[in-house]
Amino acid sequence: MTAVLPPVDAVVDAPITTPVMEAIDVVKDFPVTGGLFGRAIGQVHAVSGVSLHVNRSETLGIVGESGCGKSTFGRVMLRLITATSGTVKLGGRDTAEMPNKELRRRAQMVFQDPYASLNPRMTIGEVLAEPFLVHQGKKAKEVTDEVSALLTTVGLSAEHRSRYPHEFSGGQRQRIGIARALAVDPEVIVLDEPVSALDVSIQAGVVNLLEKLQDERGIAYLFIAHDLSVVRHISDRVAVMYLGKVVEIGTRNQIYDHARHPYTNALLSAVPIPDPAKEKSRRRIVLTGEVPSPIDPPSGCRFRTRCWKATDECAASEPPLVDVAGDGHSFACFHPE
Amino acid sequence: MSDGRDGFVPDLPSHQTGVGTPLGALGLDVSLTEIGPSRSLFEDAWRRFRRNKLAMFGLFLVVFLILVALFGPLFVQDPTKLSKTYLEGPTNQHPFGLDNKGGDVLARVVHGIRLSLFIGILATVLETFIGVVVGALAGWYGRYVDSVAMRFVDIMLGIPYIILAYAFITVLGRGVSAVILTLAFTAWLQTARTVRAGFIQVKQLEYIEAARALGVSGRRIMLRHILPNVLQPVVVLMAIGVGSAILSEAALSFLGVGVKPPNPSLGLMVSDAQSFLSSAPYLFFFPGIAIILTVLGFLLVGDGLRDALDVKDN
Amino acid sequence: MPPLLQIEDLHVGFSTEDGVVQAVRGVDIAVEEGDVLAIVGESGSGKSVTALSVLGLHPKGRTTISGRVMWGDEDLVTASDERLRRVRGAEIAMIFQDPLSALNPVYTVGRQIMEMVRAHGDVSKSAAKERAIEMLGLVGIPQPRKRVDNYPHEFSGGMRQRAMIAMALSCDPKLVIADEPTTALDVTVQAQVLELLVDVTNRQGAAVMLITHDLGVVAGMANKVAVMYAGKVVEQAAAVDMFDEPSHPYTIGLLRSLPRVDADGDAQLIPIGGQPPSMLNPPAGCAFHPRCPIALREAGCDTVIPTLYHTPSELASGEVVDDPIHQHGAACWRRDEVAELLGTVRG
Repeated sequence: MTAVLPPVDAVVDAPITTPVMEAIDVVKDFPVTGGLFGRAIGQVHAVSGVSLHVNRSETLGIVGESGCGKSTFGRVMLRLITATSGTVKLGGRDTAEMPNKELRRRAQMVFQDPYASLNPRMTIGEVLAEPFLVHQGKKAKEVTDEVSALLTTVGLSAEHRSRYPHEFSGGQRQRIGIARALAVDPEVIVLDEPVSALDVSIQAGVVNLLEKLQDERGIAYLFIAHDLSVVRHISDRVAVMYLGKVVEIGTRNQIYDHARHPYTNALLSAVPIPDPAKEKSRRRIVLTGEVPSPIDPPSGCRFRTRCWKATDECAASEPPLVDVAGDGHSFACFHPE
Repeated sequence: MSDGRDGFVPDLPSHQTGVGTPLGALGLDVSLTEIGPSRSLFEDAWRRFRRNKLAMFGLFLVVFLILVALFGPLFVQDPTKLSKTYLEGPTNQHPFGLDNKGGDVLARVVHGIRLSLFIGILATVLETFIGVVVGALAGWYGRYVDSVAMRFVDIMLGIPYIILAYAFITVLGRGVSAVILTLAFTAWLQTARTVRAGFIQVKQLEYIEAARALGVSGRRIMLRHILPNVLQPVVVLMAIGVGSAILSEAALSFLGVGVKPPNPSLGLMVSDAQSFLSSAPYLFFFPGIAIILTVLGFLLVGDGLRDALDVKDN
Repeated sequence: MPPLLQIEDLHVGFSTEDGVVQAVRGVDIAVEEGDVLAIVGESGSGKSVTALSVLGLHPKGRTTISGRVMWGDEDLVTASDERLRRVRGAEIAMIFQDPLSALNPVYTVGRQIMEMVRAHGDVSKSAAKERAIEMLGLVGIPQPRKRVDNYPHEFSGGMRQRAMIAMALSCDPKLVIADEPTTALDVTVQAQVLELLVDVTNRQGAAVMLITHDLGVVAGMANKVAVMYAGKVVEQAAAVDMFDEPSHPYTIGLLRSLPRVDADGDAQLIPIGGQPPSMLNPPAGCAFHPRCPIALREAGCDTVIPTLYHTPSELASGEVVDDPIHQHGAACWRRDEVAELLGTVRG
């Protein structure tokens, strides 16, 4: 049975409250093998029950430090990694029941490394023609116009179609990666650290491009990054992850101006600001200890081992992620700021 | 002017307009579309190869020998034609002399080169094909397929090629086919390992993940995405492989399990020349040099290819 | 007082098969005692190359260096290998970006520090070990007596970098060169490590040359800044002055393109148009001119390389300073018009 996809207009008319993409209690564990016979001797609890959603034309930023599971989560959302448990929904439908082609046409990904995300042996014309081949069966010759359009949309020139990736700069390659994701006209794009590998002055151009595309096409973004400054700029809502869990989620202003979770505040206080006066007068929260191993996360609240407010209650039970004031700002802490 | 998002364009104070010749963002349309002149990877590699004197010498040798193999037989007599005299040193009529049966050594060497190249190239093409298929499947599917394939490779590595040669001879009888099969079935192992390693490495690169995210089928990923990126070392192995195959063929023939006489095999010629080392050294010298040059040519080309291709793609 | 380190007209080129890459094309930088000098730039600016040149850490065969690196009275560019070996570690220490590759994985951290200490002085094994433990404690590694016998991989990223700092400071150098020391670390760890670096070097009386691309780090740590672009210093000033009154179009462009955690909701990010230049064939004249919004032919922007011409600076005390090291320099032919044409950073 071929899935019938609603044309773009229908999506506009659909009630805005149906999220484009939703995660419900997603869990991903990786087995750790060891011992003589390579048996599983433990699990890396990379993602431990994450629920969130992103709406049309909205950017949800997902921030966290290394080991928090955000990259794994992004891939699970796109079914590039199979979830251990939990549900991912696209436009209200469970992606587990969706044919691969449909999922891949409606949800796309932009990768981190501009030097590794393009096949060095394919011209960029071929790279951009491939989505059409896969989804519409059209040969490269038949889609020259579409490829040209994609190139100009991302700010490159159609003449470059016969060049190879190594002839482009990092920023240009990242634009090609974005063009590739756009080719299938997706409803949502997961971006995994899309500008981290770029120079700062080039990042701005790529971020602006992404914003422009969102305004024009209504694409939802799941923007995964560790750089809180970039996330602030591009996101409408933000989720903060720590050791496989979401510890706080809310609108951009709620998170950046009124964060309630201690970890979020520690994170924010650590980000350097290019303003000497502000920097020198800041109160920086210094976390003690190190990030625990995801193989053996702490009981109760996973952040308690480094939290200056931790009490016995925090070790005994896990604080639920709750929207206390009913304004969309949820946090998981027994002693919020 | 453009909206501020694409690049900063300030308002120049009015007294400035028309006075200067603006450059940069205001003047030329520089920008995102600028990239250098076209440089394909192939051109880069060729340039590096050309600069390597030894490699070019090897290439010259190989081309020369191929020409000899293709056109040489037109200029020499029939190698099986025996003259009445024998064991005669180089003369005008027989520039390489006559062997112990009266055959013209030059003719036999030329035909020997042709045969060696024929066997070497065919065996290498066959072994590359087998090696690529097995290596690709092992590398792509991993786990069971990989384990089975690699154990098989390990087992085969333990069998000396002489034994294999005897096995094929028993089935096919002594001759060119047996030699080609023997050589192919020993050489594919190295290629398979190389291709497998390449697959395992490339499989985890981001552009493969990107292809999966696009919905590209497994088959297309294998053939269109991974394989082209894995073939570089294979090309090197092929070049070296031809040289190695020729040497092995010579060895097999020398040991008596290769090509059947009176087929002019360089190895056979060297073998036969053993008894005449002091009386007719030219019987040993000419085919020996031919073997050396042929093998050397291919090895140098192979080495040169390895250096020319072995650059990190930036 | 003469500066500790004075780099004069440094040129560094690397020969590759495509030609010579002119990584550094005439750089003058001075580090004084007690300074934390930040050298800021993006990829291709030549900042790391400059830092590595101080200690002669470039591959000999392919590198051409000219100019002088004055360490006291001595020119390190012409120093013998033997002399350089003695300078490294004991007088000038270096901290690299990736501690995993900079530390030898097969030796314990303690052993590596000990080796360094004993290489630069006649110290007994036990004394060296005590020194190693002392340094590890100084950099905030808990239980240093126990951890001195751990291998690098047994430390977390942040701890490894602290260990690197401990190693660098173990011989009491006068200058520490840190090349992107925290780029590979999480932001919460980064803050700690940087603060530690500045604190400990301060206490030991060493100056710091910090190579970074992160202007936020510069704002927090540095007292002086040199901004590099395409192998040259394009702006040089006290850190506060650079942020208050950036005077080079590149610096302004950089500051305008930075997203900030404390930004206004809908602040606009303004990228610098164009691409970073090729160092094989840098643009003629001012290397920034193809991307500069105010480049003008008549001003010579595309023909003559601008000098870091100086204007006298007024110190906080009201004193006016005229010597190059303490002035606010910007290498732009239209420097006097920059403020008028480009406005303030948030303009």
